[in-house]
Amino acid sequence: MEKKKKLTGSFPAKAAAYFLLAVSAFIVSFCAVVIIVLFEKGYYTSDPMNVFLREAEIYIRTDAYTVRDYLAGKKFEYAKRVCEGKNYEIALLNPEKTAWSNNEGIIWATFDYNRPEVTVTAGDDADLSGWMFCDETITIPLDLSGGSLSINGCQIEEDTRYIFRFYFDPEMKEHDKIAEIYTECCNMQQWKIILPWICGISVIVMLLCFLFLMCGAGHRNNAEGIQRGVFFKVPFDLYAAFYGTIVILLLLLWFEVWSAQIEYVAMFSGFVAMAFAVVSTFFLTEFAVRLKVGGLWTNTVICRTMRFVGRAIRTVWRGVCAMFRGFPLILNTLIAYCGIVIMEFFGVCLFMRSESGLGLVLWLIEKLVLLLIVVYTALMCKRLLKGSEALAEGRQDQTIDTSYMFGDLKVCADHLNSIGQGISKAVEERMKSERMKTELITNVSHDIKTPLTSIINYANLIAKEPSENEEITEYAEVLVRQSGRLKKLLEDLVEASKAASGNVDVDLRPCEVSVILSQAIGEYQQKMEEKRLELIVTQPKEEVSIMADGKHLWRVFDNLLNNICKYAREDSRVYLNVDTRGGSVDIIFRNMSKYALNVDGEELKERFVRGDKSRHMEGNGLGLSIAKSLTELQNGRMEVVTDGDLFKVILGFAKV
Amino acid sequence: MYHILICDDERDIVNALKIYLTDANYMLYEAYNGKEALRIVEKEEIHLVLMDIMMPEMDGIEAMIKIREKSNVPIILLTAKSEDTDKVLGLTVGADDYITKPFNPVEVSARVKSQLRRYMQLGAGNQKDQALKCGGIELDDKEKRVLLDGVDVSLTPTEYEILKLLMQHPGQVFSPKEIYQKIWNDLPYGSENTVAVHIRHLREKLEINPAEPRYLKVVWGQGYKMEKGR
Repeated sequence: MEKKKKLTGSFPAKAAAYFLLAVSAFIVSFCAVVIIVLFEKGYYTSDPMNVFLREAEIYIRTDAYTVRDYLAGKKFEYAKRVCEGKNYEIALLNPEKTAWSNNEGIIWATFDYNRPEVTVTAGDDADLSGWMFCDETITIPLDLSGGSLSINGCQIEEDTRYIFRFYFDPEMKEHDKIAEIYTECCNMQQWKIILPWICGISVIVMLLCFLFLMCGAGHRNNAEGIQRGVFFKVPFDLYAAFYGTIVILLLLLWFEVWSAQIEYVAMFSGFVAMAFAVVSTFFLTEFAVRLKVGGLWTNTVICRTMRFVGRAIRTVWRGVCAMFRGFPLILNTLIAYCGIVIMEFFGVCLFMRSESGLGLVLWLIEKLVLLLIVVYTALMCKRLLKGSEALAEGRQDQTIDTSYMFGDLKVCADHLNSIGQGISKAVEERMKSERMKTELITNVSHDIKTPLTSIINYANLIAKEPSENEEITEYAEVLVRQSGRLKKLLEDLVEASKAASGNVDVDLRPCEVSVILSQAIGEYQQKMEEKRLELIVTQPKEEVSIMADGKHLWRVFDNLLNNICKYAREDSRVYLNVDTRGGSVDIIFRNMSKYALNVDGEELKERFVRGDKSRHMEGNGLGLSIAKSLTELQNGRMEVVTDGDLFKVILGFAKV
Repeated sequence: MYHILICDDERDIVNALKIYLTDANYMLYEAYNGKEALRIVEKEEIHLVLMDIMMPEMDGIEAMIKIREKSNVPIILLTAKSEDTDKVLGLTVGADDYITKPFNPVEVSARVKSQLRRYMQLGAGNQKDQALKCGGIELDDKEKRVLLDGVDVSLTPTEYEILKLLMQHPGQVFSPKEIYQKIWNDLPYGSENTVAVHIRHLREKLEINPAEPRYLKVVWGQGYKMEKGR
């Protein structure tokens, strides 16, 4: 680990790596070019003889044409001397009698073709051990004006294709062009095997150097962590552009010289590759350093520009938003409307004359967008409407979903939600305090009842005691009466608080109105007769039922009829009506008050309020309050109306 | 001679009750908590117990359960707890009657008398075959007589018929209309009110406290019924 760090950080190692990289890049490129050339020449695909023949052919062909011309001019001696001092001989063959194995069919040759050693040994499986040949069909364009050409007793026809055969001496005794080519071919036979190896090894070396340099990028022996280079401040994209330019220039240069000599091209390619490798590595090293340090993306011109533009756009947008938020809603709406109108106006102006459908399409798109906005707004409004409806109906627990809302709609929804929360909190607290009050009253009433029992009992005993002093009897009677009132008050108080807090079991069943009325009449007839009240009952002929709890309903009737007996003017009529109009059943109690009613109906329903506001009569003012609470517990409603001396109570229940 | 045990932690109430229950026929015992009451019930022959619920040491309900293990002596609970649930609890655990404080002394003595009569005179198996019986009410159709805790009650013929109808079907609710049709053999044209009046009179004659009937109950909004005999 220590050693590696040292190596990756040492400057000489890096320099050596760079040098190695450059050299190997040169070698790789050079070898690659040579291999490509060799490949194109067929060293890798066909056998060596063919390559040699292809190379040699261009020279030999020239000689073949010379021979042909001499023969056509009947200058046989000259023709014989063409191949002197060369490693090959030329023969002219009769195309109809050619054979590979012997010299049969030879019409004429630059050598004595009856020599036994000149027998051909090679064909497809030729090596260069014996003489060998290749055929070339060449037309001899003889201009035999009137005469004819006969070579060795063979008539040569005009404009006929004849075969020239070339014989090579494999020993290459003479120093001519063919020998050179031959030597080169033989050399290349060796190089074509060695070169790929060199190339491959160089590639590996190059890659290793490259990897080493990449690993070592940013490391320096005398410093901890990743060291930034000199060019680190330069934005990465500028750097990349610079690198790209160099690469392109190198490529252009390379293409420029491509057509020249093979050695030259190879050398040049090597240098270009070297330069490319060095520059690339340098660039990639910088890239690696930036990757290691981080912030590759942020240190670019593009990023900086985009950031700047983004910041600018955001600032502008915020400004615009703030401006619009500052405006009242109506103004905003008007601005939006005007914007749309202006847009449409320009659209109309632009596309009114044109025949193309573009205007229409744009208009349709605009309308579609507008439709979406309108539908969206309508949906949001509906949500608000539902929420406010729920609030109005007392369902405070239903909150409005503010997702996808924005602007004033959201503000409105939030306000409604917080109102709902406030209300439900208040209601909850109120219920809690009511319950606590009920508990308190119930508990206290238990404790009061015990001493009250004694008071009532002993007051009764005193009252019964025969006394000569009449005043004592009178006082005792007051005691009895008032303690009795106290008892009633205590019972009513408990009941009122229970009913008000809903702390009562309610068992709703269908109740027949006529039955409860007749029961009520049965209970109260005598009492009313005693007070000289005439009870007049009117009810519909058909049976009417309401949903109510009989016990509580009777308690309501009891309280109301009791009130009537207590407060109705004597010798007057009391009306009890049943009205079934409009889906609900109204039971109406009407009587003339004994005393002037100087409070309104709503107030009368409150606890401890009595019509006369004075407290000299029997009763404690809880009756109506209890009646109202119990009616509401049975999902009914109770209204108290006073009109002069007319006292009217309406009980409303849902019809079954 | 009837032996009555009065049990309340409030001495004044015990004393007041003793004054109200002063009768040549009554022998009164007093206790101030449940344990004392139990001791007396075990020691003496007690014919009726008047008992408070909320008492120190042992409360009325517990004492009553203990008494009920050995004896079926009538027990009247006398308590400040006026909730319906308290009443139901007391009556199911074994009380014969339930009076809430502050009580009416007359009512207390009437109930005491009623319970004593039923316990002493109308013991189990004392029932005549033909007689309809419901709690302390006995209706003998042969003799056309109605006894309340063994005492004759004078009823008008209509009241008698209504009572008979209800007692023949204890627990069943009759609407005023049905009662009218059955008793008067006529279609009711708004004359059901008469039924209600008669029922009220019946209740006044049969019940100690007509506002809180024990036997002849009003089912408000539906009709009337005779409580099934306990």
